[in-house]
Amino acid sequence: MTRLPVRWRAEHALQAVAGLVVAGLLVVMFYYPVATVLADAFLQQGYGPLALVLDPLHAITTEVIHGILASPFFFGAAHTLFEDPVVVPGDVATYTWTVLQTARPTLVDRLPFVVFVHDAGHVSFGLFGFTVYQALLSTILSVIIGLPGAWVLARFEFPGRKTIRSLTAVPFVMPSIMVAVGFIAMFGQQGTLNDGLRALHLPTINILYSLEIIVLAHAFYDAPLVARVTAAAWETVDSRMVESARSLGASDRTAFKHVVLPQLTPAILTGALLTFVFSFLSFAIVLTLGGLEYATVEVWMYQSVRELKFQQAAGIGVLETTLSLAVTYAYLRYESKQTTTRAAHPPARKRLFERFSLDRLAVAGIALFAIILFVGPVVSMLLESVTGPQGFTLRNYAFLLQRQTEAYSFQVKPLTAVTNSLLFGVGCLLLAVPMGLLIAVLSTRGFRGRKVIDALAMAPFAVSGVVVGLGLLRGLVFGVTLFGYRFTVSGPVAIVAAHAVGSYPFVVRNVAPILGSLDRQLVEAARSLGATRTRALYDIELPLVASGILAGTAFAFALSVGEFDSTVILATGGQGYTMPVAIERFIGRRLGPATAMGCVLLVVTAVSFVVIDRVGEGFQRG
Amino acid sequence: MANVTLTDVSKRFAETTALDTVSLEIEDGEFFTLVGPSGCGKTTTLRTIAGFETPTEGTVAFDSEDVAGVPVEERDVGIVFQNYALFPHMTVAENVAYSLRFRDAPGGATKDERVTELLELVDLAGMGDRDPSELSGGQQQRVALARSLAPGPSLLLLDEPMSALDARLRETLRRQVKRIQQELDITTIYVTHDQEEALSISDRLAVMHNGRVEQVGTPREVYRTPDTRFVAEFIGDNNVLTGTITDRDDASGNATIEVDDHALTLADVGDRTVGDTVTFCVRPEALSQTATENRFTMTVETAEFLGETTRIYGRWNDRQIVVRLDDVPDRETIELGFSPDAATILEP
Amino acid sequence: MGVCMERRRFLKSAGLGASALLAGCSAEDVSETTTTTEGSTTTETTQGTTTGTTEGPQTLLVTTYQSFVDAPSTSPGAWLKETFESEYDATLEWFVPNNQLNYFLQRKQQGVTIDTDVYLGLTPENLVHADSTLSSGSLFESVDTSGFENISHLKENFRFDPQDRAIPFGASFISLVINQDMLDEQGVPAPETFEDLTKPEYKGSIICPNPQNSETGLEFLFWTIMQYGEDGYLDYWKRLQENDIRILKSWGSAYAAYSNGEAPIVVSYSTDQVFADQYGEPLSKHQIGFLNNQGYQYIEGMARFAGTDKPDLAADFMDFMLRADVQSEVAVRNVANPVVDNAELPADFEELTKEPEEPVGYGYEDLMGNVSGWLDAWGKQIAQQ
Repeated sequence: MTRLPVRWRAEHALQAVAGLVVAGLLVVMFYYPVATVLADAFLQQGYGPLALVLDPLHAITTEVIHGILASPFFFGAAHTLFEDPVVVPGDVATYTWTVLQTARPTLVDRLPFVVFVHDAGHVSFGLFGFTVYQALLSTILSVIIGLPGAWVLARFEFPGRKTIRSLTAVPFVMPSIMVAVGFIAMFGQQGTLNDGLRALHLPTINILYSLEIIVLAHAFYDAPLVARVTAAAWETVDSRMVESARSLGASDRTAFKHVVLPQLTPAILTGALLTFVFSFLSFAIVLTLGGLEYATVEVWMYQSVRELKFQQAAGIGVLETTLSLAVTYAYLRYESKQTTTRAAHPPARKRLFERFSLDRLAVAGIALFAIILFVGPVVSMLLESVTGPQGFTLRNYAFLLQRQTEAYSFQVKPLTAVTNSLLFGVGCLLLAVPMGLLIAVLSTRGFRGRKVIDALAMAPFAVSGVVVGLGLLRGLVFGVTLFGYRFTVSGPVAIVAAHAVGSYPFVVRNVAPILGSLDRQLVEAARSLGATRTRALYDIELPLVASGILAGTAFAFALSVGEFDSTVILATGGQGYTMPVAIERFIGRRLGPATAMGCVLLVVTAVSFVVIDRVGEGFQRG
Repeated sequence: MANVTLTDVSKRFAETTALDTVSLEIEDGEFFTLVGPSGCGKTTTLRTIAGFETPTEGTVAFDSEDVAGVPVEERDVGIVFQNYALFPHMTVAENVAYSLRFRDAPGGATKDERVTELLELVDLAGMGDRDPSELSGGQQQRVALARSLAPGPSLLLLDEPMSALDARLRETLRRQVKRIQQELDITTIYVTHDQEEALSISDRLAVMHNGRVEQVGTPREVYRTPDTRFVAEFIGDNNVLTGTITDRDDASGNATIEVDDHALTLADVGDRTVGDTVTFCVRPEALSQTATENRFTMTVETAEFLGETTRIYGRWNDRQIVVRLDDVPDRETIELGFSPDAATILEP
Repeated sequence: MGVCMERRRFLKSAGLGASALLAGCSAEDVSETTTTTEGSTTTETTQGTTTGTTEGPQTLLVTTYQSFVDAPSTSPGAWLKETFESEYDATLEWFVPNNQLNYFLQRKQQGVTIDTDVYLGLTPENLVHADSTLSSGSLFESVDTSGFENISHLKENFRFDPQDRAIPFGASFISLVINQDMLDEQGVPAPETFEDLTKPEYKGSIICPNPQNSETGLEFLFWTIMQYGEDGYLDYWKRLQENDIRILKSWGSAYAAYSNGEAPIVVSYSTDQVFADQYGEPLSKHQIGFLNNQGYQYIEGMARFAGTDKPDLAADFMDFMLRADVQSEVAVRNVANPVVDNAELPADFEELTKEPEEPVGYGYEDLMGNVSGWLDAWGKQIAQQ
């Protein structure tokens, strides 16, 4: 006879409820809004989303998607693959026979494709092809820049190493406007770099408004990420493996190639895949630093939304989401292969400031490059904010101050923007951290289907902020009509939802690996001492993943502060503007006020990182 | 205090059968050991008793009550894990006191009192404020023990708790564990792969192999009269030989066994008749240079000086023979013999 | 102990979060609200934050674009509000959503209530976009201007809505803004014709805001279509592209790049010298270039939202906007030209705001049905990979 005590039953019920709550939140905040947007790609005019299920035969159309696939503008040379009509499987034989009978495909019919390619002088990429191309370039560059950085972080000891390591997260969360402004301030004709080169009587460089600067800007965002992830993996390499290899006759370099590199490859690929997805979905950077001729798919998506051409937007969205989901899935597969257990013998670090050697010369070179690429734009922006036509001036900050004190209610006030950003950030945390935690816990429990949960939970990675914002706007802010009532959600709440959706995957990604690699016996020990599974989670597991929770929290907060794409769609005018929105509104005839606001954002983000660190420390000790 | 009964417990995982109709009866207050090579199922048995695994078939009962469906936290067992599983974010005292969040200390003691009591019991008085990472392996293991005993459980399970410690420490600690167990009179199930350890501390032990129980008995029984070849070879050193019965004396029960054309005399072959194949074993210490019967010549290969005795490995007719003598022999071959009733017949 | 606290705090914060979420949700009874499929008079209920109709002064909600009320340099919004409120027994509230026109179009399409009364900043192409997007009904309603105080002085060539919904209130010209100093350094004269822009001496020298999301850029595109015709403008832009014209995200980033010296020529407004003067910059860096002696006429209008509950107050506001004194103030503060002929402007202001010999521009009928196609074809050519 089996006994099922009440407590045990209640606990399982609690687990089920938690799972349902998370699923419900995800559906309401993400899946439903995104689905309402993307469903338009499959609907005939005049049919609503429900018709997909209720009346599929009449409602569904593949015309929109097909139109995009078969368009040379979007798919370049590949569009000819889609130009032929879609064939219903049952009729394949008939179709093939008809084709053979009547069309008689010969070399002549093949010619258009060949001529197209030959005439163009190069294979036409199409918008999608170009977007993939620039994303690939960005990925390669990020890896090339990130690896040496990882080497320095993992293998050398120097003062400030830990600070620099935590700062690697900062570029990633900067809003694209700021990065664009910083890059212009650094790499422009009158920018800091060229000023410096002129002072040294060297020729100036002119890389703005080119593919190079776009790829460089993407690397600005993502190379630190690659460095960070790779460095973390490097630190788990067992040095004794390297020593064994060397004792068997391998040189330092060979030992690295055969022993260390294979262990780093999963981490490098993780960084690369992340970079690819983000670069693929990038658009503000492209338009501000490159210009329309370098437009990516996301630019067209954004444009379609602006023209209220929702079907086309949905079609583009479906295709771009499919691609980035596929890449995200690949990312998940690789991430699960990574081990995060600590090595018994991590490799010892060399002290940096010692005798001169080729190694250290390389580090100096890397440091110089890093300063130019990463510190440069930020410092340039700082400099720009205090520079006017007549030299040093505090006018821009005075402007901010004046705005704050004298502005009318319909004008943008800096402090209001800061406060709004902070409030939205906190709101985002209140949603994203518990959600991320719950998902991390659910995905590390051993039950069937947890890989599916993993993939579904990570979907926001792959979807553009425009789609999310639009979905939340049409789905929630405009409201759903049920039973004669229209249920709406206010704009600010939708903004918090958008931020939370964008940032909870980072909480999951920071917590789940640590949670998954915790010694199972710790939980078993707790249970043997009388703790229920849930109690063991609170008492044992959560405190031990505190560092991951903290990192995820800092990330989520910073992402919320820097978020722009969804916010700008959902901000209903009035008082709901955040710092990135304020920065954009201050871009006028001069970049001055905008850069000043950008510096404020930078300071706020930095301070919030520090505060979260401190608060987290307090939690950990208490 | 509890007695534990396993009845025909089987446990199958996706492709492997970890336990195959295991039946055990462990008495109140007994120190019972599960011993066997890795993969034999001893840990799975322990985890099934603990409640971390549910049997595919069969029942587990505490005090004659079936515990199927009772979750781990309700089972009133204390567990010491192989790598101690001390909570790294808590101090030693907090670790020991953890279970007292859910249960009261026995005898109405306060948490602090109970912690002090237990730390004294394991000879770690005054170490309550330390961090587990500051302790040595042996100290950590004792903290784990104290922690598991805090709520006064009726059953104590230990899963190879000594395997990470050096030999000397192991000996000291297992004596300590045995002492504590006797003092508290708590039913204890101990898992180890070290047969020497099993023999030295158990009241009774079960030898397991491939998910089955090969033999249950006291250390003396298992050592002196192993049931199967596996037990004979696993427990202590042994010489296992196989031969055919060529002659049988019904009166005395002796039989002549031919092993590689060499005739040996064994006592008490039971119902076996001429022509049967017989497997038997002779302990190394039963072989002596002075024995008169069953003499054979062994070529000496290696010798290990053990202090009290010397263990000598050698060959006879291409079989490995182990013998214990006082000292290393000065010749290459030695004559050995054993008395017929020193041999134990084994089930094949 | 500490862990217990942590858990309690966690639960509390989760609870806070949940209640805050719920606070933002609302359920509105829509059984009386119908969607906009029946005729032009909508039956939208106008609930919302505006004050009630019976007690005290009314609040007029006017939507406008951001720089009208909130430019870092100068804007007429504050002055207009104060003056209007002092003369009329009403409160004026500005409402500045992002993506102004689409904000209202989307809500109209979805049948969401619109509280705003007046739309300020409507260009001909805006009107065309609004009318083409809505399958039935109109976002705006016509206004009887015959009773307006200053209506007789409204220059007729500024009127652009055949249905008299949009009434012009301000104007300017799209032109090039040229940094002659930079050009002088290269020994290159200022460009004077459209064809000049494709010449090698101007390679990489021109910045244009993206017509897809900038009025300025869009009107420049129209200008080129007027010049080269529907069949020739794409070829012209191809040559511009070969000459490395830069098409940047918005007017803001285009002009900022220009100010930073990235290029000597930018597509902007003919009133640029007013700002230059304000900032104390030399006028040689801010020469106005009227290509082919033309300037594309930029007209902005105001319109009353269809179904507003304050039609009279809205009309009063529009009347107010056309008054001579108001037109003068708005022109100076918005750095634009008045649409009435009796607005007095300061002498130096008149001097600094240049006018072309030949103003050109597409009207409502010219644009209707064409803008989308032009923009699409243009965009696909520029972004062609």
